[in-house]
Amino acid sequence: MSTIIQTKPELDNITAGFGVASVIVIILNTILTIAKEMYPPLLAFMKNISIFGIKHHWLVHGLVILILFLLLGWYFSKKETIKKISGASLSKALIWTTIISSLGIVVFFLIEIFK
Amino acid sequence: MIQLKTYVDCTYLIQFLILFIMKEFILFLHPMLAVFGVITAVWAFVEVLNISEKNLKRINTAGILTAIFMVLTWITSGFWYITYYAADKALILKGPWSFAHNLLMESKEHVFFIILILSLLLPIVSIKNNLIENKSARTLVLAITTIIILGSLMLEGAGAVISFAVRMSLLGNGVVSQ
Repeated sequence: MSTIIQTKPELDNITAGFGVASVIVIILNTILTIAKEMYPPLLAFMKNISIFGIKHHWLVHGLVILILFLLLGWYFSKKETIKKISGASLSKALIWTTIISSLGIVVFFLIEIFK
Repeated sequence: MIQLKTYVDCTYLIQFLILFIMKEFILFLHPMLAVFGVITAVWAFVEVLNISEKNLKRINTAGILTAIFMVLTWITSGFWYITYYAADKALILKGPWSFAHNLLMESKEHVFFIILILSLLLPIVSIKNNLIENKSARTLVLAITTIIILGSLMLEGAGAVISFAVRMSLLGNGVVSQ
């Protein structure tokens, strides 16, 4: 018995919404990483926020990223026009933002070493 | 009196052993959980390549497990990083492989968030879409799992270099003999 694979190009609203949110949050992650290193008051502010009695900028950074992902995902999921995004273009966007954002972080810390 | 002193000494010893074991346990636990996350991502990738009605549930299971393992990796690595890493960091920075902290650890701790976000996206894509009908969603799952697999393996490699940098520092300071 063979399986017939049909094609349906549209992504689900929630998938497209959280997919777009992922692209934005990946970029924001790099921006926040560089910003907190380049602007010490921001780093100091993040270090002063206490979460469950623990004060650490990395913990705050992670929670900011997670909350932004959930909020943006929820926001974009409500938009009807978000359905127009295809899986192929979202995949390309995710792959390229991951590569560029990761390289951005690595190159930034590489430059910091030689400063 | 002697009995009381022995009791107190034993308590300290037990506390020390618990802390020591816990540190080593957490240190090994977080890369292990990440490897489990990689394995389940590979599982989802392969199942999508061989898509049929039979393996839809397995794809969802693999997607959910990937998200769970990566969240657990975040919690355990965060606990280790915040609680124990300061001593290792000081050692690495004094040693010959200081780049292991300045470049690899700094990059690793922030690039990890990309993997975490994509791991959370994976079950959303697999559960909310009919992957048999939707080629677009299948492409997305393949792209997400590929990034998770390759990215996590790179972070695992960076972690290995960071661990070795501690050893290099100890060797350089004569604490550990070859």
